Amino acid sequence: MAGSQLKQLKAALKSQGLIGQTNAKKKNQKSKTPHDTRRDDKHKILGGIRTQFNQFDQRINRTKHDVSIIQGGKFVKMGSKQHNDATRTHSAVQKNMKMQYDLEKKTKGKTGGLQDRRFGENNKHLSAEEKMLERFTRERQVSSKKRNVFALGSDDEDDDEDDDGGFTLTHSGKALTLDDEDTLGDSTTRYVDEDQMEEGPVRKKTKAEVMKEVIAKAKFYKKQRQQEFQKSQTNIEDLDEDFGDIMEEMGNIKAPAAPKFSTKTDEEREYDNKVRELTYDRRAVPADRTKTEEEIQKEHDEKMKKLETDRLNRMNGVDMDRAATGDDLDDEFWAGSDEEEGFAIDGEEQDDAEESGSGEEEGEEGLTSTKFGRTLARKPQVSMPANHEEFIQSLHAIEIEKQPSYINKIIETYRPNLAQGNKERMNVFVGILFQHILHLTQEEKPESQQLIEKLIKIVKKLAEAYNEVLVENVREEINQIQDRIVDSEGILLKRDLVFFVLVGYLFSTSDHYHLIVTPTLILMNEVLSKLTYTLKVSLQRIAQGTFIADQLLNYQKFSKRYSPELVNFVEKSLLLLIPEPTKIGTASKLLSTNNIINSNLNLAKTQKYKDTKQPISISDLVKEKPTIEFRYQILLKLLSLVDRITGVWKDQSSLIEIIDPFIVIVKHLVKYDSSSSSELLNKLVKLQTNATKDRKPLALQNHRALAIATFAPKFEENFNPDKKSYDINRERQEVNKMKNQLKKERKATLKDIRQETRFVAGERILEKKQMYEQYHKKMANIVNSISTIEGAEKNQYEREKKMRKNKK
Amino acid sequence: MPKRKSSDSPKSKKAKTGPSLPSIAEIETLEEQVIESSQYNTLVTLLSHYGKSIEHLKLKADKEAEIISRKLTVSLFKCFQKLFKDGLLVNRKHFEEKKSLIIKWLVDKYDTYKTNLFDLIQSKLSFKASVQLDALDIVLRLVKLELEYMGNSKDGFFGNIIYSRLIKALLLSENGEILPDGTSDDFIILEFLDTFKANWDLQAYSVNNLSELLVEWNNIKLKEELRRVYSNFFTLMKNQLLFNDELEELPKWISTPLPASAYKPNHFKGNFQRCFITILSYPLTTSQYKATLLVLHKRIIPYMIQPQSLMDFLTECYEISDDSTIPILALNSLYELMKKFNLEYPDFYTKLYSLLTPELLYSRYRSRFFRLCDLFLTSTHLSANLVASFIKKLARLSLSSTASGVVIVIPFIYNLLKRHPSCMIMVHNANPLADYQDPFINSEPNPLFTKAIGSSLWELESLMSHYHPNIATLAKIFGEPFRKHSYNMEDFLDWSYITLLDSEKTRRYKSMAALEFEEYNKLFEGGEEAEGSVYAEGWTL
Repeated sequence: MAGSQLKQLKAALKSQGLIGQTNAKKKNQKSKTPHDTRRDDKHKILGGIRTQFNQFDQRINRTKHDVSIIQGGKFVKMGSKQHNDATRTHSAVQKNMKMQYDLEKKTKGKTGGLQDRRFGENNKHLSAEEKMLERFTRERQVSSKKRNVFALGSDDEDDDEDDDGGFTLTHSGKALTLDDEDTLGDSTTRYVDEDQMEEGPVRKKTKAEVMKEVIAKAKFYKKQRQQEFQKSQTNIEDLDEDFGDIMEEMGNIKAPAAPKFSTKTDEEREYDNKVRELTYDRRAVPADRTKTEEEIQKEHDEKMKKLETDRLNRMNGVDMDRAATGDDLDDEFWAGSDEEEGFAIDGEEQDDAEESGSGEEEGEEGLTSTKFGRTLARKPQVSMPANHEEFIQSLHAIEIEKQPSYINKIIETYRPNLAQGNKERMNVFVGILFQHILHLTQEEKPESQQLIEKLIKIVKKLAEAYNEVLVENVREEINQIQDRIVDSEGILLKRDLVFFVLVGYLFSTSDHYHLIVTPTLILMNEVLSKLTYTLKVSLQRIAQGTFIADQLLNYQKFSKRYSPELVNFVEKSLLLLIPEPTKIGTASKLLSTNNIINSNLNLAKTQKYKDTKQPISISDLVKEKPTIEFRYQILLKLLSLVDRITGVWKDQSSLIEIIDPFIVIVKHLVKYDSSSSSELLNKLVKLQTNATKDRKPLALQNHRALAIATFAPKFEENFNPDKKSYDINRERQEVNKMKNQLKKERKATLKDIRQETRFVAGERILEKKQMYEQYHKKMANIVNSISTIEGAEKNQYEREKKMRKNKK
Repeated sequence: MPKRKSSDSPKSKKAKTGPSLPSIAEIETLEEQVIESSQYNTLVTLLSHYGKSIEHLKLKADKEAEIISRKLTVSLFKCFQKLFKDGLLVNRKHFEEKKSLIIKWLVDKYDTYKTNLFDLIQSKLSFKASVQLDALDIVLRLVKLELEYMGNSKDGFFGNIIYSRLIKALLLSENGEILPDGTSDDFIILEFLDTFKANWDLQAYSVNNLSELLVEWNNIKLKEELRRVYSNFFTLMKNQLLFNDELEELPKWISTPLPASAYKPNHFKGNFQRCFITILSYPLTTSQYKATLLVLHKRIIPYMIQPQSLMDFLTECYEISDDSTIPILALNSLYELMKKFNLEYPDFYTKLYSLLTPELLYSRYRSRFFRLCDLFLTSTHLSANLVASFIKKLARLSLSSTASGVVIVIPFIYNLLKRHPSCMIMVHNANPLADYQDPFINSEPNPLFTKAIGSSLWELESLMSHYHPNIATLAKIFGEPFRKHSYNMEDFLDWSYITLLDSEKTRRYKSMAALEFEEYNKLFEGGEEAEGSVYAEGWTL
């Protein structure tokens, strides 16, 4: 449609046939509606046209000028999209309300109504498809139940109720059944009988009676058949029951006569077994290409590089994704043990390649690849010990040289992929092994060192796979050592000293935080600090401390963390051992104490000792050995510790303060024994002078200057009216936001309610108007008709009168 | 119960060693003679038996003799109780000459009995005998008896003479050893303590007229004896006394009211103070010093009339330098005096600075010290030089301290730096001189002249790589902006290796404990294969 509104209106009216040539005949018009009815429809049609033409609600208005109005609390440009949307929703709301109102009006003051009982009609969760399907099946079921009412042979007693297709006759809520009829009949029959007696015995049977008789007969025969069938069934069941007994009896009797099922020889059978076994094997796949030396070396280097970066990350406390290493189970441990030590880790790569298969296959494969060609008889017969005592028992019978291989056998036999429950057994076993190593250290046997060396290597290989259980064991040991420290004031057993070595050997001691190493460090430092606490200074204490200090430095070899207790201990022990410590003079440079005292451990000043350069035995540390030589040995060890300290902590900015006391002490010592300490003194002095030259004051607070927080600015440079709040107090802003929201909601709800009541009121008025209008119309019609009749009568009267007058 | 040595066949022993001791039946008849038929001369026999039995007990651990002496104690008590009732022990003016003569004689016997009792309490028998406890009990009852019959009931009376003799005997008691916490394990005193603790009159009169005695002893007694006296005295006094504002309400041992002087708080305070000042001048052991100082500010100072007079003692303690804990403990009481009595201590901060020794951070009382030190350094008007000296010295100490010491020092320094921003140059000196030298003088005792303000806290930088991860992280606050207002010191004061370890123990196993990947051929040196890398170099198994 085109043109102006007026033109469009004209066209619309014309097309409806309301204006223009009303009587013009259109081609092939069938004139369904006569003119009278069309006149009635006129209003309806006009209404339709009116709504169609009132397009302010439906059409986008293009305005010539920018006019902004407030709508929904916002500035909206008239005719813009938002505006139109709003009007559209507004009209939609109106329509909705109208519908709602009509519906309510319809049902107002009415009870009951029709309930839709069709399946799933009110179930929203069912889709139309499902509903249809279910309805269809129900219909089918019902129709299948419907059977011919007059089929004589097949009506079972059970089916009686269903005969009438689900319909039952009721009387005052109770179902009327055939039985009821019978009883009802019974009560009446007597009454009838008497009548019959009077009337006469012979009576012709009605059709119904005949039919009933026939039915009764049919039922009787049917029942007979069923009973027979039942009987035979029970017979069969009885026989079946006895069958087992009979077979047993027969078996007893015929026991000696064994049937020969096969005539195969053992050899053949074995062959069959093998063939059968082979079917379970995986097909041969092409092996990976053999790697060249360079490739292997390169891979190893890369591996090492990765481990190194991991270690650095841990050392700096960077959180790493450790989940990746959880899978690095060293399944090929046994196979790998033949290789060189350095490459033991490489086993993992093979695993990675195999991991493509499922776990089941992997286990199977592992079994065959290691065991292929071996007969079962050659499988090592070892038993898994349940606890440490049992383990020691089982080791008694075995020579010390063969113990490692015995243990390896156990580990091989109980690999977790060989049987269920092996994992748990191995968990226990790793704990036992760890305990056993510590147990061995307590024994004074010359060959135990070799054994420990071998066992710890085994444990180290298992450490990755059985990490958690090992950690648990180590933690338990830490608890025990802690107890011992408290009980004995820092005098330890040999196993405790070895324990510290084992921790350093097994775990990564450079980590920022480590589940095992951190508590161990605390323990070691506690032992070192005990020297200061206690009054009973003994050489044994110093010697043990020296050992622990050495291990501590071993731990910090890589991460170079600082341990104040260690410095204190070394200084203090040196003062306790050097000759004539009081002659040092001022103690102001010492870190460990303010007043130097002589002790009974100080070496004599004149005596000369020989440096044996022999390693010190840990066994000597745990027993009292107050020989002068041992004292000297410890002193030398302490001096070497000083040397190590300067090496490990040479990058510390407080190195000057740390080595200051050592310089004083060593300078003093040089007077008595220059051979051992002069070189060290030179080194220390050189280090210190260099450090003093280089050291600059700290500048730790080099931070970006912080802006001063500003509060409530007067002017906002880029003020945006749409931005709700410029409040800097976040909390207050939130509260205000909430308040505003609440206010808005409230307003909107009130508005809605008002709108609705207004609408309802309007509708009511409209209705009333209509009602009155109708009434008036009706009355007018009546009056009209009356007056018409009246008029007609009057006319007739006039005519009559005229006629009569004329007659006259 | 006192421990008794079991003696084999007491009969034969008695026959050998104590021929003169009577049997129980004999004692009973003698007692009857005194009580029933007023044959007072038998008192002499009884008393001589008593004296002998005591002498005998001093020499031999004889159970039989002890039973007899216990019997004698009780019998004699009964006799004198009877005499008191008969009014034969109190001389009155209106008595005839003959009667007063008898009374005089009886009083003399009564005195002998008392002397014997005190002898029992004071001297060390060959074993811990119940008879000594009996004697104590009897004396306490005698205090009541004397009050009843000797005192004039009008203005209140307390058996002062006998009670002060009891206190004297108790103080001189040789039955105990000095325990490490400075108190005595004397069983008589411990027994007496139960009664003593609950009764105000006993406490009040214990210090009456004692100070002269104490002064006298100080001049004549030996060092060991004086120490024992002190330990006995301290055992009695170390508990909270009942003393409060309403003295009349307090529970008493005797039922009658006390003399008016006992209700004057200042009277007691004066006596108490005099005793304490005297006894604290005794040559004490270190442990006694420590024990006294531990309770001084709470249990002793409140009962003194002029606590300032403790100043000398405290100063003396504070100056003791061979044991660093005593000055730390004295600090507490000194602070109390300064706070309440505006006491001035010359060169207080110099002394406080001198307490910062390497041993301090290893000491058990370090938390006590740091609580007070925090208080003393609270003022923002202290000179920056002084605060800088404290900071630098503490940092220096932390370089050789225990982990728990470091835990204290780090937040302590942080708080000081925050309070005295002029010291921030010690952690941040952006423009040092070209030829910078550390100016700090470690040996300078006066904190105003150490030049620490020109130094830098390199020690703290070292602590940033402390072996304990949490401490290292804590130390890193010095490299971060000082945003936190202050640390609550109480959270850091009471750590120890055990608590540090406990917090580690409870950690859950989350991911694999990282393993050492470097391989060593051997764990220890020695063994067959001489080649290869060794983990623990220089050690064999």
